[in-house]
Amino acid sequence: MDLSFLLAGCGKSMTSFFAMTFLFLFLPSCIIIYAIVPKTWKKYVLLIASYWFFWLISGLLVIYLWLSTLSVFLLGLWLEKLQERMKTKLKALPKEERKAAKIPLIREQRGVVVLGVVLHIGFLLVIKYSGFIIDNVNTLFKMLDSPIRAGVPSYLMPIGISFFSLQAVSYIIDVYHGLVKADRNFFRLSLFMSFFPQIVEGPICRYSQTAEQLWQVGTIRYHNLTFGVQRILYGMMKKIVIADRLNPMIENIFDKSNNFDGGIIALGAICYTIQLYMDFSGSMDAVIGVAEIFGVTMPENFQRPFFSRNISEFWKRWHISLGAWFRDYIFYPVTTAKKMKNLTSSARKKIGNHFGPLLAGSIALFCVWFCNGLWHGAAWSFIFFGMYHFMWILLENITAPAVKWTNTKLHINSECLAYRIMQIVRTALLVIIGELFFRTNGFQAGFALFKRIFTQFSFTGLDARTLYKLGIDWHDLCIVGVTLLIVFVVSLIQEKGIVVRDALAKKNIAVRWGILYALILYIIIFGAYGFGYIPVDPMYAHF
Amino acid sequence: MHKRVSETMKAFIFIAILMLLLSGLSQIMRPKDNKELDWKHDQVAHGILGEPAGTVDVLFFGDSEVFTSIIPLSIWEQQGITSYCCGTSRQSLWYTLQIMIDSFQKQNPKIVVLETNAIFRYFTMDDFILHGAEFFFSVFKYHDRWKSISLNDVVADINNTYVHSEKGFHFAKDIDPASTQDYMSPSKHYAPIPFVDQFYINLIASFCREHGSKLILLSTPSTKNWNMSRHNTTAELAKRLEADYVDLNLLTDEVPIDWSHDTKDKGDHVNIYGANKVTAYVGKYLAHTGILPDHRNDPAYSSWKKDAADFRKKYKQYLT
Repeated sequence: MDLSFLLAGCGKSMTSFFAMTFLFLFLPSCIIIYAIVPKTWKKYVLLIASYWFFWLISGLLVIYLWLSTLSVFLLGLWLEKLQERMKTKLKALPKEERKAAKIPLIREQRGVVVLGVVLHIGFLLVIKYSGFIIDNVNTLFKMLDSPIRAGVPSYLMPIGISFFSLQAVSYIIDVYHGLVKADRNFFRLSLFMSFFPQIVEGPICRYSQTAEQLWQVGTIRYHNLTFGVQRILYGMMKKIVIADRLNPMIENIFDKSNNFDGGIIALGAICYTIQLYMDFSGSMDAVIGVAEIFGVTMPENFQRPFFSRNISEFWKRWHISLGAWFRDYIFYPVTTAKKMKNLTSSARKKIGNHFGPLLAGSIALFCVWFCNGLWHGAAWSFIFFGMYHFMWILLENITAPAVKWTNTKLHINSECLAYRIMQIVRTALLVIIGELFFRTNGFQAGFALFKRIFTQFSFTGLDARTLYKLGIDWHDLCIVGVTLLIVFVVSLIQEKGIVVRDALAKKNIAVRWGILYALILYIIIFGAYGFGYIPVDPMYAHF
Repeated sequence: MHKRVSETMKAFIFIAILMLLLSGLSQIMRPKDNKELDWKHDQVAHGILGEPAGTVDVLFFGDSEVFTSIIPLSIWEQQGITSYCCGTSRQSLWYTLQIMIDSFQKQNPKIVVLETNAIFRYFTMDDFILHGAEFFFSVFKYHDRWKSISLNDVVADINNTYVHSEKGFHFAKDIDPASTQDYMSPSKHYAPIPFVDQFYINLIASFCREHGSKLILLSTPSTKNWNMSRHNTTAELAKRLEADYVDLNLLTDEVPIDWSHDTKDKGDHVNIYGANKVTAYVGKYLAHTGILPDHRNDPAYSSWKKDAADFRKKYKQYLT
C-alpha cells in the first residue's frame, strides 16, 4: 500500500486553513486528541500537532524551524547568563565605577543580539534575497559591458520563514531589553515558535503575548469552541465567497492586461485590493478562531483598515503585527540612537518643534518602509511599494501643520462626516494604486498599467462578453457585492465598539442558530470551490 | 456534568438540523433534467440518464481515452450490442463511481468496462473529502447552480430528457504522429496506485458485484499514458478484483494501431482511424463473452438503428 500521499498530498493544500484536509481532518483530529489527553499533556499535543503540521506542508524543511528555535533558545540562555554576570559584577563594584564597568558588559550582550539577528535575518537574506541581489549585480555588470556573471542560487524555502524568523528576532531582543526572561523550557519556546495556526501567515506574535498562554492551555470550553468556529466561518466567507470568486477575473486582467482598457484595469486594481484584504484578513480570522478553540487569544492583525483616514493610520490597522514589529525593532532603535537624538535636538533648534524631530523620524521611516517593501518579496516592485507608502506618510507628516492651518482658516470641521468620508476615500484610492504596483510583475509593467488608467479610460467594453473573457459573470459580481455589504455592515458595527459575537451571544438560541445556519449555507452555496474552480493558495503564505 | 451533557446534546441537535437543511438544499440544487448540466458536469457523459430504462447493456467509464477510442454505434452495427461511453476528460475514480451510481438507477448493464488510465490519476485528500461530501449532499456538487435556479427546481421531479445521439463518443480526425520509442518496453516495475484510487477501485468493484455486472478493465492504446509498469500493476489488480483485463497496447496484431496515422495528439489519444480498430476488437470481445444479446432485430431498439445511420452519414461528411 502506497501511503506516501499522507505526506505529499495533504501537506500542500494545508497552507490554506480553508482546505478540506485542514478543516475536516487535521483540525478535528487535533481537537479530539487534545480533548481526550490529560491536562498536563495538552500543551505537548499542540507542540506535536504544530511540528506535524509543518512537516506536512514543508517536509524535511522543518529542520529550518527546529534550528531557528534551537538557536534562539541557546542565545536566550547565553544572554541571561551575561545579564546575571553583569548584575553580580556591578553589585560588587562601588556605585561610581558601575557606569564604566557596564559598557563592555553591555557590549558583550549586544554581540549576542547581533549574532542572533545576523543568524536569522542573514539567513533569511541569503535564502530569500540572494537571487535578487545577484540578479541585480549581473545586470550592473552587463550595463558596464563586463563579461563577469555570477550564478543565481536557488534555495528550498520553508513556508512561513519570514514570519517565524521575525518572531525569533523579537524574542532575542526582548530578552536583551529585559522585557521577557530567557525561556529555560525548550518545549515552551518551540511551541511559541511553531504554533500551527500562525506558522503560515502570522500574526507575528511576541513571546510575552502567546508563549505562556500556549503553555497553560486547558480544557476546550463550549464557549471557546463555538466562538472559534464562528470566527473561522466568518473568515471562510471572506476568503471563499469574495477573494476566491474574484480570483479568475483578477488573474485575467493582470496576466492579459493588453486586452483591456483603462476602466477594466482600474476595476482590476480595486478588485485585487479587495481580494488581498479578504484573503489575508479571512485567513487571520481562521487563525484566531482556531487558536480560540484551544483557549489561546492571538493578537488581531487587522482592524478594519479601509476606515483609515490616512496612510499612516491604514498601516496601523493593516497587518498590525508586522507594522508593530518594524516599529519596535527598527523605527524606535533608529530614532533613539545617540546620533539621531543629537540630530533631532539640533534640527529642533533650527527648523522648529514640528519639522525638527521629523528629520530623524523620516530616516527611521525610510528604513522601516524599505524593509517592509523587501519583506514582501525580492523584487524592485516590492521596494517601490514600500517607498510609495513611505512617500505618502512623509508627505502627510510634512503637510500636517499646513492642512491644519488651512482647515482653521477656511472653517472646515475636520471631524465632520463629509470630511472624514473624503479622507477615507482618498486613503483607499492611494492604497489601491499601491496595490496595482504590488500585483504587477515589475515597476515598469505597473507604471504602464497605471498610465493606461488615465490615457485609455473607458468602461464601454464591460459587457457580458468581456466578463466571460474575464472568467466571471454578473451573478458572481452581485454575490461579491452582497457579501462585501455584509462585511461592511459588520465592520461598521465593530467600528462603533460593539463586539458582534458578544452581541449575538445574548440573543435567544433560535436567532443564534439561525444566523449560524445562514452563514454555513451561504458559504456552501456561494463559495468558489469544487468542480470548475482552482483552489487559491493563501496570498500571504508566499511572503 | 449536567452542563456538559446539555452542551453535547445541543451540538448533536445543531448538527442534525444542519444535515436536514443540507439534504433539503441538495434536493433543490440537483438538476432536474440532464440537459441543464453545463460543461463542468459533462453533459455528454450524463446523456446515459436520458436513455430509456434497461436498454444499455454495456457501460464504458474512464477519462478521455475511453470516449475517443470506443464508438458505441459501431458496436451496435457490428454486434447489435447496446453500449454507452460515460467517459469524461481527466475522469477520476470518485467521478466514475458517481456517474456509475446515477446511471445504474435506470440501467442494469451486464458489463461495466473501466478504462485503466483513470486508476492512476492522482487526486488530493481535499478532493477525497469534498467528493465524499458531494456523495451524501449533492448541494456541494451543484452549489454553483444558484445562478440558474428557478421555482421549478423546488417543485419538479427529476426528468432527464437529454440524449447524446453518438452515445458518448467524441469524434476526432486530426493526425499527429507519435514516437514509439520505449513504448511498452519490458519492465518488472509496478506503478503505484494512489491510496485514494485504491479505495475507490474497491468500491467500484463491489458496486458492480452487488449489481451483478461483470467488470472488465480495459487499457486502450496510448503511447503517452501507458507502459509496462502500469500494465503489471493493473494485471495484478484485475486478479485481485477477479475482473477481466484487456490491454490493447500489447495486442498489436489484433489491434494494429499505426502510430504515424491513428493518433490525434502524438500518442496521447487515438483518432477516428484508431478508434475504428479499437472498437472492432472490443465489439468482438464483448460479443464473445456470450452474455450480451443482439438487439438489432428488436423493434424496441429502432432508435439505435436510426442513430447509427445518422452517425454513419455524419462520419462520411466529416471525413470528406
